Amino acid sequence: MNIVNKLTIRHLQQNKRRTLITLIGVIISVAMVTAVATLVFSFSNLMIRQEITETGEWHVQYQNVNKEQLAVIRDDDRTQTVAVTRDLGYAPLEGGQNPNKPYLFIKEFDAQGFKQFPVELSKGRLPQTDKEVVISETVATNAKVKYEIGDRLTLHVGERFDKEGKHPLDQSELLRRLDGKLNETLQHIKTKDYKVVGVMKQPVWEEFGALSYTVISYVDENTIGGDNRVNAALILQKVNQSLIAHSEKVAKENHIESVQYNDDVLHYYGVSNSDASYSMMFSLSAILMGVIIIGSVSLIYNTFAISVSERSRHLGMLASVGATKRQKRNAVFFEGVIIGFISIPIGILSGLAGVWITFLFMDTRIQGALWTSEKLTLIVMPLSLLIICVVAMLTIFISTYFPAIKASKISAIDAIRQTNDVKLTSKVVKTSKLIRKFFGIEAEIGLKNLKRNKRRYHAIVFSLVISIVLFLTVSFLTAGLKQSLELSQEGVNYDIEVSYSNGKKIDDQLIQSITSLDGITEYNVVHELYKRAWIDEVFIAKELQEKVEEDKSLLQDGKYPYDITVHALNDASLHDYAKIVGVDYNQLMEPEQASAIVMDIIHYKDMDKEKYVQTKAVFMDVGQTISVTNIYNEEEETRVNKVTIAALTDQAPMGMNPIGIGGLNLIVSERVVNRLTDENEIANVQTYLHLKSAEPIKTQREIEELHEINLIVNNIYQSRRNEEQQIFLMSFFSYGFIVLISAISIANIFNTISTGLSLRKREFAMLKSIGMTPKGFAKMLNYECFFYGIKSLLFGLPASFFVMALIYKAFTNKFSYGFTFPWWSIFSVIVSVFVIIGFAMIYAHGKVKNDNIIDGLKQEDI
Amino acid sequence: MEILKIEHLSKIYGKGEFAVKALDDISFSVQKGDFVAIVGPSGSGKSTLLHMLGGVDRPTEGKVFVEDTDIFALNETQLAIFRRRQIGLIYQFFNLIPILTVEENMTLPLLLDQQEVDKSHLANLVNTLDLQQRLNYLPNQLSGGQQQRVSIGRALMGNPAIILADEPTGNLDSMNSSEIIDLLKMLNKTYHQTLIIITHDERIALQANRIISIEDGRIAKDEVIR
Repeated sequence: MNIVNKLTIRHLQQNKRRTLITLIGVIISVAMVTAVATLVFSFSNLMIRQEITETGEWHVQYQNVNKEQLAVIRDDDRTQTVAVTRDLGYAPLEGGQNPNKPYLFIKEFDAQGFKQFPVELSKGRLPQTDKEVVISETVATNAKVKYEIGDRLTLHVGERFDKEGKHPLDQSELLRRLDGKLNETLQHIKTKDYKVVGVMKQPVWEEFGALSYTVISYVDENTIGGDNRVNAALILQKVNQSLIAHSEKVAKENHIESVQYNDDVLHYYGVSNSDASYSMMFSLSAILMGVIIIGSVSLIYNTFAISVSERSRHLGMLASVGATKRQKRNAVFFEGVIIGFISIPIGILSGLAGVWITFLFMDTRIQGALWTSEKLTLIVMPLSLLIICVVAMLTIFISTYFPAIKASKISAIDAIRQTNDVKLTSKVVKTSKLIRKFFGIEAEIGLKNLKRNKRRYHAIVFSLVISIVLFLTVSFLTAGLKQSLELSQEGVNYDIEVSYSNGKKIDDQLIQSITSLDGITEYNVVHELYKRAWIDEVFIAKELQEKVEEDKSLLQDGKYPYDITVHALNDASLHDYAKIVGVDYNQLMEPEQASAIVMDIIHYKDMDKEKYVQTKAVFMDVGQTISVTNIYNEEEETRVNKVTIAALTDQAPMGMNPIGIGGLNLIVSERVVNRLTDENEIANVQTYLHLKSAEPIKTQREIEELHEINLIVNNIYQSRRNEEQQIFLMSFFSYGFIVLISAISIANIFNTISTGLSLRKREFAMLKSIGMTPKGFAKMLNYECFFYGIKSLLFGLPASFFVMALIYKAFTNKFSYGFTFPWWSIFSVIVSVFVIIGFAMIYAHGKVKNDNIIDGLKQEDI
Repeated sequence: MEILKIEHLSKIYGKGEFAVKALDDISFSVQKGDFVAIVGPSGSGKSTLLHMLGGVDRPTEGKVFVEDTDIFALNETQLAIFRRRQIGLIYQFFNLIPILTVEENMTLPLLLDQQEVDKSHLANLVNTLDLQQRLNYLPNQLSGGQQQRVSIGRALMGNPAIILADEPTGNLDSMNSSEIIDLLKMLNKTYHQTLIIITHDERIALQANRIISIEDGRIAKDEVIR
């Protein structure tokens, strides 16, 4: 080892504290990036496994393919395995006790299909020929039809058609009924003989409102004839965004009509089929990744730059004994290599350890929050670790490059004479006269101190700015995600909605028996009624005013017709809702003077622009009245009821559906709705029962087991839960990340401020010796701290607003809502900035406060 | 008039085995307008003594009275205020604040005291010190002699009772040294400024009215020479 490197090592050893801080800075940065990457891979892996157990393992499915097409698909380079499946159709279930599930649905899988799809046997074995079947155990438990293994059954399998239907009804179509009787038939019937060889657990696809029980048979590829068509569900070699274009191409070249993508699985690989949501996900991840990388790179850079700048004297001494530029530069690079060599492996290991420990303690809670049954496991991608190593090395290289160049230029005399202040000019430390006038000489000295060492000043301000931007960005992002979830899930704040498909009113007895089921945590009953209201031009929504400008004929006597939906809540629900909105419940119960809560903020999906929009539906005030008329009879809108606005709100009660422009939701009591409803209208009042349940699936099953005809049980918790999972994950990453990066910033700031102060020990002693009081001394430090804070906020806040605007723009690809400042976050940022700097100052002050003046004066600067 | 009185001043650094007696029961007093030189070899305790007089270090035992004020009876804040009003310190290494201009450095004690700067006094001093052209310079833009003149200006700005100078020429070449000493002498004569100077340079000491020699923390000799 040459002497320069030897000296570098000795220098690092001597300045233990500085070296340690640099090491820790790099370790935390590397650990953070490792942790984020590992978390992303582990969570994606968990979600993919979870989706596979629920919906089966496949990426792409080509539908209705013949033998030749199947062969092409199988030979495609990208195909790994192909599962052949076929939906044969429906057969009536003889003796079934559940009127809402009158059918068996017969599927066929080949051997690979049974591997890829979640078929879990509870008894017997899987079918091996097309004469054998396994049946869902719900046939016995729910429909109460007993089949034993070995039983033979003859099924008449066909497609569902309603009376005037030209196309078969698919699985998502509700049962067609008329007057309580089935109003659909099965056609194209083929008769099949089967032998039951096994019983399986209820498959996931059967859980949600299916009108049939599942029976699975075997399909042998070799028996597919010329006209027979099957579905091919593929697992691909590689999953990336190009698979969609590729699959479309395969389909087009081979005249395959329909391709399906397993979006639930694919989006965890970062592949998305929907352009709008893809561009949102893409811009969001790009912003987040950008912020993460800039954050850690800049922190490594900072830590390093300070360390090198403090070595300038050492380098000058080397120069004085004849070190060349090259040797000085290499000394700095060598320091980088040593730091990297020690800290990168430790960083990666501690990042992994951190995630592992998190999983260890959080496993059950994460599973609970994500509703998964699969276990969270630590997924380490060697490639990602390699990338992290390279990024960290590059960062260290860049971080050392500029200081090294600078170091190589340090001349012996510069370094030995007296450091940075050599080049100080009065212009550099010029401050406004006002500072002294308003804050005193201590403040002026404080501010001049900041200005004298730009490097240190910038390092601290930059660390703070990064933390400010990160914090605000992430909280804005999370708020934005929540808001977009609220927009897309407006009113879907329930798990299960129960109603009659024929519009029958749900009677109290049924409500009683449903709401008393176990696991129901909250419910409400809503009666809905449609009305019309003519609203004066001056009050109507902006969007409507624009429309009216173009076409005056939309108005009648200067009034615009609004479609009113009247929602009557049962008394208990209304009572709670009134409390949330902040309105007097008794006023709403007054039947003589009808009052309503009006939702004046609406959210809807703009179909043309493919995005969610939030806007004001009507510009009216509390106390004004809306004249509500009948819409069922266009000729005579005679019966006019005046409804007083008791309150305006953007809070929807449970289960309210979003409405578009030109619509208005009124929420009233049952008494008021009775008054508004005339006899002809009673039949048009639709009742909905909304439920929240601790166990939505069990509750749904129990409601279905009431076997109430025409009752629709709409379980939406699963679609909701997907969005919630994404938000949970997003917040989990983001906030964890903020904590870490703030930790680095704080360490950095503490270190920079305290080295800054200890370098000025002699000056402090000087100030004290000419009579600066302890109070004045504290005042000077406080002002330094204050100026740091102000400066950081001055840069940090606008920068954050800029990033927020970017995020907002990313969101408006899909959602449209007003830009709101996260005031609370901004406030907490301002407070924390001063708290952090304040603590750093107090810490540093404590270290120099009791220093002996004499020692300080004697201390050599050089 | 007695402006400074020192009674039985002792200072011990360290404890037990490692205790070093820097000052050992020193007593003397100084009249207003006196020019005293304190001499002695390195490590004799002269700097320690000066620091006691300036109130920047506290003695182990004994008292220091400046214009009848017992300065070590004051608390930190009072002592700091005492320093900026009554004592002018001049150091070998100037100890100017690098980020303040010449003018600001000179007026710093007044600014800290929130006093109005007496413009004519400042102009006078600046003239005397020959710093007219340098008022807006930073210390690093000045020569050593100029820097020392600034620190003398700072010491004089508040009309202190005593000026204490610790090897004021130790860091200067001989030409600058004699300039500074002449300046100090002039101040002593013209303004009747009390001056206590520490030096190990005999030629400088001989310029004073009185020489106190210190050896091993004790007064070895105290002679009035003019």
